[in-house]
Amino acid sequence: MDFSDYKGIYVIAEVRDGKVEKVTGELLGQARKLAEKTGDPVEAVILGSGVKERAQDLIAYGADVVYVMESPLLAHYDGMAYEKELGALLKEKKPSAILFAATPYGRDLAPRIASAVVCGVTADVTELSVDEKTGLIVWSRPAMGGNIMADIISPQYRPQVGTVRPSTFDLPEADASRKGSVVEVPVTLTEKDLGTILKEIIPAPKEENPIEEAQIIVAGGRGIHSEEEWAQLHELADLLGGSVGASRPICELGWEPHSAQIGQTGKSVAPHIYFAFGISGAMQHICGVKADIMIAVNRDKNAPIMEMADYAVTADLKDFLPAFIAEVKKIQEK
Amino acid sequence: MKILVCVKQVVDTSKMEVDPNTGRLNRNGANSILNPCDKNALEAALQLKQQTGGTVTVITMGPPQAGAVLLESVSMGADDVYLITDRAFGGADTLATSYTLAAAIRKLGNDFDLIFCGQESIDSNTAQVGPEVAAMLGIADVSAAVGFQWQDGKAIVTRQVGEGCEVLELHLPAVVTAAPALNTPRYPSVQGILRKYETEIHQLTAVDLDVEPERIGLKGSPTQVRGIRPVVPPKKENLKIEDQAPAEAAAALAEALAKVNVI
Ligand SMILES: Cc1cc2nc3c(=O)[nH]c(=O)nc-3n(C[C@H](O)[C@H](O)[C@H](O)COP(=O)(O)OP(=O)(O)OC[C@H]3O[C@@H](n4cnc5c(N)ncnc54)[C@H](O)[C@@H]3O)c2cc1C
Ligand SMILES: Cc1cc2nc3c(=O)[nH]c(=O)nc-3n(C[C@H](O)[C@H](O)[C@H](O)COP(=O)(O)OP(=O)(O)OC[C@H]3O[C@@H](n4cnc5c(N)ncnc54)[C@H](O)[C@@H]3O)c2cc1C
Repeated sequence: MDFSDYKGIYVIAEVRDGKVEKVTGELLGQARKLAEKTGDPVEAVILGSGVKERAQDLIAYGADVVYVMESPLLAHYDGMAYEKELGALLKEKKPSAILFAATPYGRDLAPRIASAVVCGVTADVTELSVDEKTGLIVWSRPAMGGNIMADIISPQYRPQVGTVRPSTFDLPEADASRKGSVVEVPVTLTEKDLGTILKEIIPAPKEENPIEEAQIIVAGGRGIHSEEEWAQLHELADLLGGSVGASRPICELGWEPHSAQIGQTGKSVAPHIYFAFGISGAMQHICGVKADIMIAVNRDKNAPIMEMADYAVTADLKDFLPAFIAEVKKIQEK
Repeated sequence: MKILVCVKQVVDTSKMEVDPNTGRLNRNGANSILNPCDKNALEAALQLKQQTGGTVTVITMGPPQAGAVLLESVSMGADDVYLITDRAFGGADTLATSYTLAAAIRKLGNDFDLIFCGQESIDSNTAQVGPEVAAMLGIADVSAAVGFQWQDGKAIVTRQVGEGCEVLELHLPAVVTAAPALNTPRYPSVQGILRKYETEIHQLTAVDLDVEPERIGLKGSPTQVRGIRPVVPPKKENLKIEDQAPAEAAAALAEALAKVNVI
């Protein structure tokens, strides 16, 4: 098949509360890396209401061209409306590849676009590369409960599409002086094109230190046996300037809100430092952790987490935690 | 109200693990089960039927043995069930799966007011089939619903976005994919279990559906799994602190972390 008229690595920007989400920058960084190998331009599409001013943000992160689709009817994500407008643009532009954020919106929009454009989508990609021989993008994703990694390609169809979870890739340095072009695309939507009417937004309780942005995460699991002991994790997190995370059983006990849960059914985090206190290291937990340095404390030296950790301490937390906090205080006072 | 539920038979991945020494995926005798959040989808459909009357139809695409998840659906309360099965459907990715499901929905009259899917399967968990089916039918959808209410003739759906929620009125017909938090699925009833033995599983094959041969099965699947590799838990050069009293272990760790400026 001849795909020579399919050009450009596209990133679909994610906007919330009028701001470009961090994940969009991460995707643009990856798009640039792919583009260096394939020789494609990097192009971004931003849909919403009052988003034109944000185009330069996308250029700063690596877009060469930004398509802007403005309409009050695009102010909130609606699968039908977004598919109609974005689908029409993509059919006309024929991208070689498209990256969506694997957020609640992106995970709904990417498959809708796939049906409209007739192409494949690789879901929740965690590794991206270009096959040297064919120039195809290789989209890698965990499957089977995180036990395997699947390498997926789309040789017979264009565009090649994937969704990528936030915090999977590093945010590139923004370069405010970078130049690119901004193209306004007319939007023809009417009320009739909408599939939903937004009735209400129930805001989240404001989190003080959201774990997805934390550089240091002090996480605990079932190895901590009482709420009083659990409070020590907060004390330690405060000392280190970090946030508290938890395995699922802890959130089920109600010691931490669901927003602190890390793993397959919780959040993906990418801190510099990850403390795992009394966490066994189940795949469903660990698949959400990408840390530069992992420290595990567990009384079982054969717990799976001990193999993965850079620092593995075999100790009983009941005695270890208070002693460790005292040591940290001692060092900090120096 | 005519309600449809799409269900999938999956391998119970919670039983599987990768052997860190051989790198092999160990199935540990994992069974095939009804995908967990498809039970939430079915529960939502059954509750809606209790409220508005009507029928709940359940479909699955898969090999003949996938009929088991249809019978399980009957035991929970489904009215009629269809197995979409043909060798030609084999090897489908989500696009080909959705294309085939959409063709089956058209074949069944395309007059469903609501179509419920699970949010995602536990074996390949792409969460793509629901929105793809909706787009193929040209109708609305809401993914990963954590709330569903039928109020004054309107479908009110809640979806979680970040830590907050959006409450949406959904224009019908539409697809709703069910998150695990949507409801608590019922257990099969005795009546249901008895009915299971009398229920006929209707079959639909490729010739029964209006499908283009190049859009189904492996051929109609843009994504190709080029290879799979087991995720072997990574082994790192590490500092191990063992067989020490807690106070000494704590001091040793604190000292090591101070060296790399963590403390
Ligand atoms: C579909 C699915 C999705 C899931 N999603 C998630 C998810 O998002 N996040 C998640 O975390 N889990 C998830 N789980 C659950 C996951 O499989 C594990 O059950 C869970 O992560 C285990 O939590 P844990 O490590 O705290 O507890 P355990 O596995 O019980 O481990 C406790 C550890 O503490 C140690 N310990 C006990 N006492 C002490 C002590 N006094 N001092 C020191 N060490 C001690 C033990 O040796 C053990 O290693 C999911 C499961 C399924 C099936
Ligand atoms: C390792 C591996 C990785 C894969 N990665 C991808 C990928 O990235 N992209 C891709 O397009 N395909 C992928 N596939 C193929 C994909 O698993 C199949 O297309 C599968 O038929 C449906 O995908 P899913 O299980 O992810 O469904 P999901 O979209 O997660 O399922 C959501 C819901 O859709 C409904 N549903 C799904 N399948 C059926 C069915 N057969 N019959 C009735 N209802 C159904 C159910 O209600 C289900 O709960 C992969 C397969 C493997 C083995």
